Amino acid sequence: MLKAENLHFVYTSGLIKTIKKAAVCGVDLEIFPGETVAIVGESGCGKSTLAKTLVQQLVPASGEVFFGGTKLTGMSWKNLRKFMGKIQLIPQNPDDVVDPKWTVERSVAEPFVICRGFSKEEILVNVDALFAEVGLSAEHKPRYPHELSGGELQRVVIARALALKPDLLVCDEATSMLDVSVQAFIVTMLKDIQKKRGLGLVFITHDLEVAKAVSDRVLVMYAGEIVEEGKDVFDRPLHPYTRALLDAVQYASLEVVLPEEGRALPDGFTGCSYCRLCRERTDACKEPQKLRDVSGRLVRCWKSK
Amino acid sequence: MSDVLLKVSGVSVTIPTGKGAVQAVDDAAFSINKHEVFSLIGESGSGKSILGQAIMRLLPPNAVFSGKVELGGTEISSLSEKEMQKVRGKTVASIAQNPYLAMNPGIRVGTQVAEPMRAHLGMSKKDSKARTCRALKYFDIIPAEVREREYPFQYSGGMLQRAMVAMGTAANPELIIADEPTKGVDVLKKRNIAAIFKKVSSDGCAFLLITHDVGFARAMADRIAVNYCGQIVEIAEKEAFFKEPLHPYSQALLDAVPERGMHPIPGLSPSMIEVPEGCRFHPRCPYKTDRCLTNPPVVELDGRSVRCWVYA
Repeated sequence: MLKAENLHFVYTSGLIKTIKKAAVCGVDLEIFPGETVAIVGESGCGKSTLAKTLVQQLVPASGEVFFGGTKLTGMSWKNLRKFMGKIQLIPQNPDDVVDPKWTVERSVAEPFVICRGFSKEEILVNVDALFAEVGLSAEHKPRYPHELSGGELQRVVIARALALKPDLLVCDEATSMLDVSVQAFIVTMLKDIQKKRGLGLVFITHDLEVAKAVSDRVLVMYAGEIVEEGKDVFDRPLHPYTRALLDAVQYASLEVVLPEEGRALPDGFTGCSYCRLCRERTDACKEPQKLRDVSGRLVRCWKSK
Repeated sequence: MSDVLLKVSGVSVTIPTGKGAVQAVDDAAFSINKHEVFSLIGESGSGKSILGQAIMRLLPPNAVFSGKVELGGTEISSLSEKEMQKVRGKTVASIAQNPYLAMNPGIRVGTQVAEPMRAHLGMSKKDSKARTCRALKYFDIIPAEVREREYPFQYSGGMLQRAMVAMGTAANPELIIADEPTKGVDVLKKRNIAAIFKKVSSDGCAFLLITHDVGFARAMADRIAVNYCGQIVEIAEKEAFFKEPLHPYSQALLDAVPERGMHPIPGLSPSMIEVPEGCRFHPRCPYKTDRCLTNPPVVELDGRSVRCWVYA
């Protein structure tokens, strides 16, 4: 359904002394209808940038994004608009989505207004149905965002994202700031909605437990690259970075892992981006690493068997 | 229980609001031994942070405090503000929840991290700077010499959080009150925070960990207290707690954790202004009976205590 090919994104800052920072480096991915894909990795590894390039909020430096066979990158804004409702992003912080000066009802109704072609009555009926779908009652509708709790506001954001009947929801750390019980509620609700509507879910998170609980397929990201991809990644991790993540969840060895000479790699270094921190590094890690197929799993490490 | 470091007895905090008084902490009683990691878990809005602030005497000015807090034998709840300043940061340090609000945006991070060393240990600017750099490096804030001279806005959230931990541990306090130290922090850095806390605690520092991260509490704590709607409903040793939680809320909370299947707790958290009568959990409790409408007793049961009628 959604396909990205060799996606790159570079942040630039500074006017005179320009600093370039590559956040996404050559990501290929494919998401099939009705599938739940989790993208995991530490903060700063480019997960959110990847999400934003997938939904066309950021224009990639190079690479292409296809949605159902149509190429989205390079499309004019006017044409792109038809697809925007089909791919929706749920960001980490619900306050980024809703206008603090609008009632939440108006925020949920906004997509219908933007899309035009809906009568007032239709909009009201649709908004009612959406509120019911995410488990909010009519008394929540006239409230303002500050009058709702974090979990309720996140549900408003989900209702808004569902408004235009999307085929794909990209949840960018949608539950990581919430309590376990609220998180359990939101995740269960998202899975129910997915079952009912048959939509694809991309779950971007640094919480491996959540990723494990919800996903059919997992992509592990490190320094802008996919380092491991496949099913049951957490039961049988192949890449050293995935193993390090899993050890961290179990608090297996409580020692601080720090790079010897800083995390930044020297300019022009083309080898494995994880080799500074990797415990199993050898000289061969200085060679560029390709994603290899290891018994149905894609791994970016020459050592994995 | 001879080496009790912190003893909290009968602490209640009420905060008046426009819609009525919120009893954020109701009759909290527990003690923390020396070198112990004591974790207070519960959902946001259950009054955990207010309890931490009450111990530090950092409550909002309109809050009404009652009860007694003893630290190492001295009652700190009746100290004057001037005396309290000598305790704060020296004997008991706090690591606040939101690093952007806790740090002064106009002062360099290095200066702020060095402040407890300068104020309580009487270190010189030069010594404290060297130690600050070492601390920052230890917390993966590199290059420390550059980062030390930066301002909070130049840091990412996680990095500032780690700088806060560096600041809290700077003057080697006896007790650290850490309020949600892992909120929004990814697994690797969480593990690093856990490692640092473990190291600091093996140096003899006790911890009051206020968190909603059950996994983190499990990895760190010696004893667990569960907070629901302003009340501590259960206190137990960690092993016993995770093997068999007694209070129905503790059971529901553990079932909501991803590795136990993510079962949401039925119903909604009650408003703190109109708390349910009797047991505060009874509207959501699967075991409720008529007696739950009256206040449940705190039952002592093989070294653990639980506030529930089922065990009365």
